[in-house]
Amino acid sequence: MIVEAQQAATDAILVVDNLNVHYDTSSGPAKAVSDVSFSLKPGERLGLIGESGSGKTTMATALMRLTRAPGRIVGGSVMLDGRDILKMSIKELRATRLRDIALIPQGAMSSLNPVMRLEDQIIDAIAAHVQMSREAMTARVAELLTRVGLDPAVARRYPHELSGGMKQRAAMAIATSLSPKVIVADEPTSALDVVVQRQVMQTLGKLQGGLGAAVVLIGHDMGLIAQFANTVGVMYAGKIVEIGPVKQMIEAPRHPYTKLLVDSLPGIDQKRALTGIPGLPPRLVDMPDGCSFSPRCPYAFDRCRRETPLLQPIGPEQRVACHLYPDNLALPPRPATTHQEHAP
Amino acid sequence: MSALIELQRAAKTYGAFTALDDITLSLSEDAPSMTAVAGESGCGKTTLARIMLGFIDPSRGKVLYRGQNVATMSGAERRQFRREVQPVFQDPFDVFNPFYRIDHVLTTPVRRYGLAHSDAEARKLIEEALSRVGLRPQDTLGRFPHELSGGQRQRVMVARAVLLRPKLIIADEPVSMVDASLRATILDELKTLNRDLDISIVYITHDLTTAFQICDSIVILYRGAVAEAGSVERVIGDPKHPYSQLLVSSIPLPDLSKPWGGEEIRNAEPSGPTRGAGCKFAERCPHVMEMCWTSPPAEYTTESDRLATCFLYRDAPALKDKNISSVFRPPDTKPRLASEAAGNTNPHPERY
Repeated sequence: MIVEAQQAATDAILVVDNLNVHYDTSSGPAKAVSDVSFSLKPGERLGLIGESGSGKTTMATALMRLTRAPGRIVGGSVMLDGRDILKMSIKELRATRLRDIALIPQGAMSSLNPVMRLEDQIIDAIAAHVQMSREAMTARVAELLTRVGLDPAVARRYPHELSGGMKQRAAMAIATSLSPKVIVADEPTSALDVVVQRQVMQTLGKLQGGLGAAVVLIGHDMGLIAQFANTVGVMYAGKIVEIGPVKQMIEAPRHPYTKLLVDSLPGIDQKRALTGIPGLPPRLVDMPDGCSFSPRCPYAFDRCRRETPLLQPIGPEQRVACHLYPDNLALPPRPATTHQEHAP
Repeated sequence: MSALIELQRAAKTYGAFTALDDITLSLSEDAPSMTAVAGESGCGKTTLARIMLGFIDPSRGKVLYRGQNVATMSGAERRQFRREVQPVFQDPFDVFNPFYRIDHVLTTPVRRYGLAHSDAEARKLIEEALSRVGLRPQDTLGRFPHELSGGQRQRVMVARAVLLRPKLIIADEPVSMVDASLRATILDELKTLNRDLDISIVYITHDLTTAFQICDSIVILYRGAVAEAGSVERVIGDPKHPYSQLLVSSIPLPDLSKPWGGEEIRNAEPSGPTRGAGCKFAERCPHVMEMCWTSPPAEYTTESDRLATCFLYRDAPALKDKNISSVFRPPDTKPRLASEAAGNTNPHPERY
């Protein structure tokens, strides 16, 4: 293929460039995803973290080109293995989804069809892509279920006969049925208990390792992302404000928002004051001038309120969108707070 | 010590299903405490909350509020009980009627309990309650629920509870639907209510990290029964019951030096009814022994401030009166919080 040269050059399986997704509202477009760019190497685990309304799920659906009205992909490209998903014909797109890029949707438990046996749902997905005899299909289903740690006998069950964790793993079996190159997992464990969550995430990790697939894990739990991802991207109001290797992101975050996010998570080593992030994210139809985090940022200065910071490299493989850089190398100590602690 | 609320061998069964099994505990009225109740879905956390709130009556045993049996209270007593024991629920979206302004959930209790003699006085009470939970009254009153964020709505619910000057707040997963950045603030407010207004708080959660941070004591429930209980430092810092150990080791910590255990989890979820009369955790327990299948373990007090319902600790003295609060840490001995000291972080972690 012609794209091989390009792929070798970038060494990436997924390259998202300047992706913009808007929702049309009566008060103008809500920029849910705004100028987002990142790339993913095969086998890489990218965790995208953000609060509700930061554009995480919009981004996940846009990567699959599943955006629906009033949402609109208004610009950018999503290059999967050298081909732009956003420019594919519908036929090409259908063939690409699941085979090359698969989604584990948010609340996968409710994404299963309640009136179909699990087996038939898995076969349905596979049959849309490959021709196989019924026996081969059944064998394949058993193999897929075993791979996600389920007893092949559950194939004959209906979704309501499965627990939350089992349904989540079933959804994972479907998503990985054609060995995709990229798996997009949108809060795959948000409704599960911690023990089940750990088991599901470890299963996802093993699957991904076995397939050599890249994973985009979307979530709001920094702890979970830290346990799973090797690269972390932080989203705020539709933008990636910082992205870098997980170790640096947790131990030496550069963006004030990342720092506050990390600090807002209490550990179990010692009791300390709980620190939230004062204020609320901006409304996407009514973004502040300059940096969208500036109204909540303890470091904000004049330039932040005028000029939108762009992602700039800081440290190895780390990029940050903040005017504190490049003047600083690391995040300086927090200035004396003038912020009203409880401002709603 | 006089008890504010007391559960005496309370149990709740639905047909053959036991939602809550023989719980005895008492919370002191003199020393307002913060107690966490934790465990996985279906462990009986919410059943316990609903029994304490008097929403449902226990199938066996009883609940006493200041010595009065909640199930047999007179109308006036029940009104008083309803006022003094306030709930905060999980879902900050469901509890509001979308057609009423926020004011509605605040003026209703003021009116029903005759808390104010005039509209001006009512307004003052409401504003005070809102300010106490960190909301600006002028930005909150007059708005509709959809105009507030989840975190703000949850704070309105806390304000509503505070308005009634309760003695006990039962918060059932109050922050599980709120963003991480706002959780800390809401929990900190609960802590402040406990400290400043002497309100006892029962914090029902599946999140052990926040339980550790704000509570004095914790009860870990497994399939309706107490698996482990005691001070949070003991139970979460160094869990003894194999189920608590599994829970604690599964917390995804944002700390790369503490990775999840790599070992396989055998049976992450309970499956089917428990077998026989033994320990309910036996089928999932990595340390299961012969005796675990035949009789239930007693509450072994491994330390003065911890009990574990597990035969691994059968050499420790068993709790005599079943009252698990005897291992709760009295709140008056609570270590000073770092927030009360000057800085935000405590350079000298407490050792126990």
